[in-house]
Parts: sequence; structure tokens; C-alpha cells
Amino acid sequence: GGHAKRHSHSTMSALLRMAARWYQEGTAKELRKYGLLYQDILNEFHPDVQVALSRLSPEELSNRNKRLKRAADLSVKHSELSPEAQAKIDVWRKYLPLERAQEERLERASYKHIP
Amino acid sequence: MLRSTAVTRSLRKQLALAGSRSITSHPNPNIVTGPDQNWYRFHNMWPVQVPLSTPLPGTPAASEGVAAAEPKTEITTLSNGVRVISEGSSSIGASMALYFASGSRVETDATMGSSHFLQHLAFKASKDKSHFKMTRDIEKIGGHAVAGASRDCIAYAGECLSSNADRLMALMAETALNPRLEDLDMDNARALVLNDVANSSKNGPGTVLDAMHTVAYSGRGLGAPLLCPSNVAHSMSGDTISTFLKDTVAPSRVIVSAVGVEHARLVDMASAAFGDMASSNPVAPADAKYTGGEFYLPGPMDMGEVHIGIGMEGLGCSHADLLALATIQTMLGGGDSFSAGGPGKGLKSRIFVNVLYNQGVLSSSALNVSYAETGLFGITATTTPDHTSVTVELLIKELKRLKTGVSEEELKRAVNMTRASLFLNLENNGIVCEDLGRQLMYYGKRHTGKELSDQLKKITAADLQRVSDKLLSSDPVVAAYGDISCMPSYSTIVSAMKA
Repeated sequence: GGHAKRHSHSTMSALLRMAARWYQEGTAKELRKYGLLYQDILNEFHPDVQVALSRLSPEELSNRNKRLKRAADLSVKHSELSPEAQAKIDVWRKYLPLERAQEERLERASYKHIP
Repeated sequence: MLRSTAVTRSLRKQLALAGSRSITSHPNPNIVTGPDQNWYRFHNMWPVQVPLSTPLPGTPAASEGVAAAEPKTEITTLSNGVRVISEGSSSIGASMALYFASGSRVETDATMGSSHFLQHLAFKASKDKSHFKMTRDIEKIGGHAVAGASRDCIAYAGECLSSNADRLMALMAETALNPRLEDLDMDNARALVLNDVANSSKNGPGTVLDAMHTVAYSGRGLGAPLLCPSNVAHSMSGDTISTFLKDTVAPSRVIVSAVGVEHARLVDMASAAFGDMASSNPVAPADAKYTGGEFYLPGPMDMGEVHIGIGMEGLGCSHADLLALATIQTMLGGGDSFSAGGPGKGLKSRIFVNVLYNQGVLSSSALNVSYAETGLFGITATTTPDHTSVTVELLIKELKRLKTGVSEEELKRAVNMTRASLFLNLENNGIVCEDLGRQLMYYGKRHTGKELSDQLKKITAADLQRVSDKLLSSDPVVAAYGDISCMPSYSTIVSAMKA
């Protein structure tokens, strides 16, 4: 925050980058155990996520639901995915069209009608 | 007893409110006199006639209006080939149109259906603006914008106040040249395209017209499907559309027309929008070759109607006898059976008199479409299935009757009706704007309504005869859609027409 401004910019951002990488790898490891992608666990009640879900192709939607069901099954059995299967998963793959949904929502929300 | 006095009491109260003395002052019980009548009776005792033709003394004389100057058409070609045409108008509103002379006839097998998609991608998201912003921008200037794709052009039209015309033209150009073609936009357009295809099964006359084109031009060029076929629509991608735009939209094919915008201003708008378009030489569409044939399409089970079209090779827009053909179309006329027949209806065109008197014929009218180098002419009809053969006989008889000439009275009536509809249509600025663009597209210049009317007045029965002979010399094109079980075969129709 404001306190950190006194330090050198590169040191702070290097520290942050290290922390971020540590956190990302930890999250990815957990997600991979359950065979999920990061975008699978986004809050499905967020308006952008809801709009993006409605715009998914049937195939992507079906794959997402299958991943979620598989993860619930693994969780209930206190089990995890096999290492080979885990290696195939690209946790950070972006399949939800979130950017456009957010752009549209913000544009509509910030629209000022000045005739 | 009690009820009757209540009724009479309320009746008297109503009459008292109406101010009537009595309801028996006139022998006719339906006529009820009121206080106004007494006023007129009193004031008409000394009648004072003031004719409306004499001005009241002391009132200022009205100045006669000056007839509006004949509007001037101006044409400019930009350096890269874009053509701009406008007609002056004193109206406060501007009607503008943007034509790309592409359409479904320049689609290839790879780009089939692109025009239909472009129609549904129009005025949605562009590369820079979202759909929301485009809509709000159009609303802010109070504009109204539509787009339509047909066989030989894609048209974007809009109307707004003349002062806002530059903003609307910029929006029209943006959506025409740079529609956003991401997956979401294509999916939205796809839903609309598939909706059109689903609705086309209910549109009998439209299906018949498409069928006639398909068979007359062998399914290519002008005969290519106007609506994107559904299997193609499911796999249509943004890349196909951008290929189509790149290959078919060249500055030489772009026409900007407007009514109610000063020509110099319109040229500026067009330069701003299309000035930096690189000129290219798109492949010209092959000349359409007409052939006769049949296309009978079974319709849904519960249709209960047959839609029929019998057509022949017509005239292209540049043909000298185009106006004579239009006169023949007017002479044939036609419409819905509701307006047909019976005393007092007074509808005298040949199809009304000779075809629509038959109970089974639900509607029938003359068909006349013209493209640059060719056209289709004929008669379409909608009938109940059990009257199919009778209707086909009547249509054939009507087409053959064209050979036997036309009386002076009928010719004069047809010419006058054509001239009237010409001028009535030219009262509408939107239609004038379309006329400007299309005339430039087909002729390279514009014929005013007055010129066309003068040419129409010169049409003789011999001209109509010549055109009819030319029409009837080509093999017919027969299309039917609906309950086609009772449709006579193509060879029967051909031999009946030649007999």
C-alpha cells in the first residue's frame, strides 16, 4: 500500500511476483488434484460469469459440468486424480468469455444519456 | 309496477339532462330534437349566404404559394470509384442509403449465405463499438436504420434529421465495412438467420419466388439461395464473412445516395467514410442465363394451400422496353381475392377480372423482377389444393391472352396507373433514395419521374405486343409450393402454353 511506496519499486514488485507465483502454484496444485480449471470455480452467481456461461458453446459447457461432477466425486471419496491425468490439465486455460461480458456490463452501467 | 315507474323516471331524467322538450315533437320516434336545433331554426329564419369564394371584407389576401422547384439530381464519383448521388429536397429529414453491389449473386460455394448473415450483422457490434453503443448512438440522433440483402445488392438505409445526417452516415459506413465477427456476434446472427429459414416455410409466395429463381438460373448467381441454407448457417464463421467482404466490396461497387442532404455535404460524408478504401477489381458476376424448368416443393402437411408461379424470361433493367413491361404488369394487376369481383368492386385489371373471380383462388398477381441484364416475368397465385388445375389453366390462359393484343382503353388505363404509381411512390423520400441508388447501379445515371412518365405516355399497343411476343417465346419456369399433389406436370403446362 502507501507504506510500501518508500521502498524501491523493483524490490516490491519482485517480492510480490514471488508471492504471487507461490500462491498460484499452490492453487494450481490443489485444482489439479480435483481435475478443475481455475475458471471452473469462479463464482457462478457473478453477473459476468453468468453471462459468459450463457455464451459458452454446448461442448464447452458440457465439459465444464463433467469436470465439476468429477471433482465432486473425487472430493466425496477423499481421493484425487492420477498424476498422469493431473499433468494434462492446464489450470489457467481461459474458456469463459469474461472480458466481453465485463466490458458490456460496465459500458451499460456507466452510460450517461446526454441528449 | 314499481320497476316500470323506475324505468320511466330514469328515462325522464336522461331526457331532462339532454335538454329535450319532449320526445314526441317529431313524428319519427328515432329523431330526437335538442336545443341546437332550435338555434338553427331561429338563425335560419333570415338566411345570409356568404359564399366561401368571396373574401370577407377586411381580411388580408392570401398569397399564392410558389410551386417547389424541380429537385435536382447530382452525381459525383470519388477518386477511388465510390459514387455519390443525391436529390435536393426542402424537407427537414434526410433519407440516406448505402449500397454494396454484391448480394447473393456474387456468393461462391465457399461464401454461400454471407449476404444473409451480413444483413443480420448490420447495426450490431462493430470493431470499435459495442451493439449497445451503436444502438444508443443511433437513438441519440433520432435515427432509424435498417439493412437488407437481396440478390444483387446489400443495402443499408437510414433516416434522421438532415442536420444529423453526417453522424448517421458514419454509423452506417462503420457497420457496413467493419462489423464485429467474433463468435458471439456470429452466434447471434446465426440465431436470426435460422429463424428466417424456419419462417420461410410459412411464406408461400416468397418460397415460390425463390424456387423460380433457383430453376431459372440453375442455382448459381441469381439462382443462388437468397436465404442461407441451415446446414451452411450452422458452420458459418466470421472468417467466411470477412473473406466475402474483402472479395466483393470494392469502391466501384459502393454507392451512397441521399435525399435531403446537400450534395457537397454528402460528398464530404462519403469521402470521410470511404475515401481511404483501396480500389480493387472484384470478379464480376457471370451473366445470368435463363432456362425454363420446374420446381415443385412439397410443403408442410397442414398447409392447405398451393402457391404457384408461372414465369418467363423478363427484361433486364437496361432494356429499352422495360417500361412497356411495367405497363403489362399493371395491366395484369392482381391482388387478394377479398378485393375481387362483384358489383361495385370496380377492379378492372385482367387478373382480377379473369382469374380472381374463381372461388378457389385466394390471391394472384403479376410478377415482374428485373436485374441488371435479365429478369423474370409471370403470374403467381395461391389457391386451395382442389382448385389447382383450374387455377393453372386460368394463369396459362391469361399469359397467352397477352399475345392477342390490348384495346386502347385498356392500354391508356394501364399507362395511367403505372404513371400514377410512379409518382405516388416518388412522394416518399425513402423510395426516392432507393431509386437514386439503384438507378445509378443499373444505368449509371438517373431518369427523373417526369422523364419516365413521358416515356410511358409514348407506349403503344404495338410495343406491348412486341414485348409479349418476346416473353412468350421463352420456356416457362413453373414453381409450386404446398400441397403439390394436384399440380399438373411441367410438360402439360408447356404444351398448354404452346397450344
